Amino acid sequence: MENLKLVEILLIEDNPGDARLTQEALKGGKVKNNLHIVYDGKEATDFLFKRNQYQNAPRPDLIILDLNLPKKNGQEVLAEIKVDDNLKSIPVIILTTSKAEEDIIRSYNLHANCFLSKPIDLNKFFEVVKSIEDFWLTLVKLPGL
Amino acid sequence: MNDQGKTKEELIKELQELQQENNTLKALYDKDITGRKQAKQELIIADKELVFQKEEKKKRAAELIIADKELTFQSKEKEKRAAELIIANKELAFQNREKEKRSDELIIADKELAFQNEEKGKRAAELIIADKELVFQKEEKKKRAAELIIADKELTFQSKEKENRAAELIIANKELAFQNEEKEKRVEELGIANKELAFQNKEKEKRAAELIIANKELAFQNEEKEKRAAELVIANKELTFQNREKEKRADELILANKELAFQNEEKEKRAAELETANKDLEQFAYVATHDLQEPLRMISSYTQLLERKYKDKLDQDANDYIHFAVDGAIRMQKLLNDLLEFSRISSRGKGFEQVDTSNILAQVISNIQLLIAENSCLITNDDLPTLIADESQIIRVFQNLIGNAIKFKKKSEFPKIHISCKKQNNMYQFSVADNGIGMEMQYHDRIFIIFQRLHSVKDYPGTGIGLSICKRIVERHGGKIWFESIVNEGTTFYFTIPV
Repeated sequence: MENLKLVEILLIEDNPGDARLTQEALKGGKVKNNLHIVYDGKEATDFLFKRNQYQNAPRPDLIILDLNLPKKNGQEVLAEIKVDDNLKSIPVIILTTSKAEEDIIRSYNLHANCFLSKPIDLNKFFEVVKSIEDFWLTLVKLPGL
Repeated sequence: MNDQGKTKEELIKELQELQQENNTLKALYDKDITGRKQAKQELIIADKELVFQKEEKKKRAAELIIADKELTFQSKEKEKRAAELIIANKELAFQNREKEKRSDELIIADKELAFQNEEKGKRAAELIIADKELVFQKEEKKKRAAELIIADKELTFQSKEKENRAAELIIANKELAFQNEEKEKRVEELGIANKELAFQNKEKEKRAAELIIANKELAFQNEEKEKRAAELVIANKELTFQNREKEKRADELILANKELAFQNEEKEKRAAELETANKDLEQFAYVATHDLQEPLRMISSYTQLLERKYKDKLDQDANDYIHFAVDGAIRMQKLLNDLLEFSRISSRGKGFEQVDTSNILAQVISNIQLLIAENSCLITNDDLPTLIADESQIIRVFQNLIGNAIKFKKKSEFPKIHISCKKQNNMYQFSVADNGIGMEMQYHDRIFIIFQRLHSVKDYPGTGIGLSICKRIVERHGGKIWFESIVNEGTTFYFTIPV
């Protein structure tokens, strides 16, 4: 179970508060990770397709995606990831404030790997982030890891 | 118009048929009258014949009477003649006897003479001559007797002739009597024939009367048909008028339709506008919720993070303040979520489909099984129907009502909830009855209003949206919701869903 390789995580989140909270939650985790944060949809695709300032960006092992994003929303980003042969095998976890049924359905139709709502309570938020780590980075076997 | 045309043709046809029938009847009637005239003439001729025969009989009878009188006269003449002959016979018989007496006297005288002859000789010759005279007279007398016999025979013959004639007359009389009888018979027969004819006449008169009645009837029917035809003509005109009216009406309707179409378009536009407005509102609610939640979450998360990291470095007051800030943020978040849900009942509701309420109840019990177990709640139900409804919303209604029933339980008793349903006026009326704390009926309006609460959050947590959501869902299905309650005994919520 020992993972010596650094896990690359891309967090696409426009709210610095939430980004920071996620960062805090991942800090205490068992898995060594390298968290990259981008704050809008366009920046996210630049990172993923290694465009502009992200020419040397790594291919992420896990993507945490918020839906409400400036410039290009989360679902557009998800669609681009899931039609790209190189990127589509990367697990994409939707982490959003929305609990709306249509958001959930649309996300899964665009091949999101799982959909999570951000809990209001801090402890619960930490639990959710921890469970992402536990499941996707520890339990699940991913390609290349 | 097609139907009307047919009816008219049929009527004309019917009229023609009736006229034909009428003509046939008239021909029959004429024929009958001719027959009757002939029969009458025959009767008159037969009557004349009878009169003529009667007159002939009278003549014949008069002749017979005359012949009878003639015969009677002839008989009397013959009787007179016979009486004269009898008298003549008696005269002859008397003369004969006188002659026989004379001859006796002559014989005496002869003897005297014969005596005297001897004496008188001369006298003898004279006597011979006298004798010869006597013989001659005798012969004459014999001739005369023969002539009398012949006359007698002639009389007998004449009598026989008369008898023959009388017999012939009797026969002729009988013949006449027979003929009279025959004639009487004939008269009787004629009388019968007359009666028969009279009867036939009466029958014919009856028939004629019947024919007259039939004719009248036909005439009446004709009149009726004419009336009917006239009425049909009127009805046709009426229909034509109505058709025109209908065409007018149709034109009007077309105009009205155009108007309606226009109004519909307007309404559709309006509906589209409303839908847009609704979507905008929904979008607003969603965005508001989302965007309000983000900062709220920031407040609560970072106050909690603050608490977590610096708890021991701050005093109890600081801890309390953090707690109130977090609690407030959490409650506001819940309110926002409820508001969002409430605003989306109509617009985000699913289509109606067949749902089995028993399954819904099972689903609800499964959803809140922890709550039920924690409160040792007993839920019972009657037979429940299948509805045409939005399943998730009906689940929500039952879940809210059952949840409330458990929430407002009495502290002294385990909650008991009974769900039943009855069909009434094309509606299913559901009831959810509990044995909880109950509430005063004066609040019956308030409890269905969003965020209106009867109890403090401290005693009974919640935003106060559950019943307003129930009301909105039930009303979306075309039903009503209300309750009956007795404080400290329990509450029964009722709601209806159309069958």
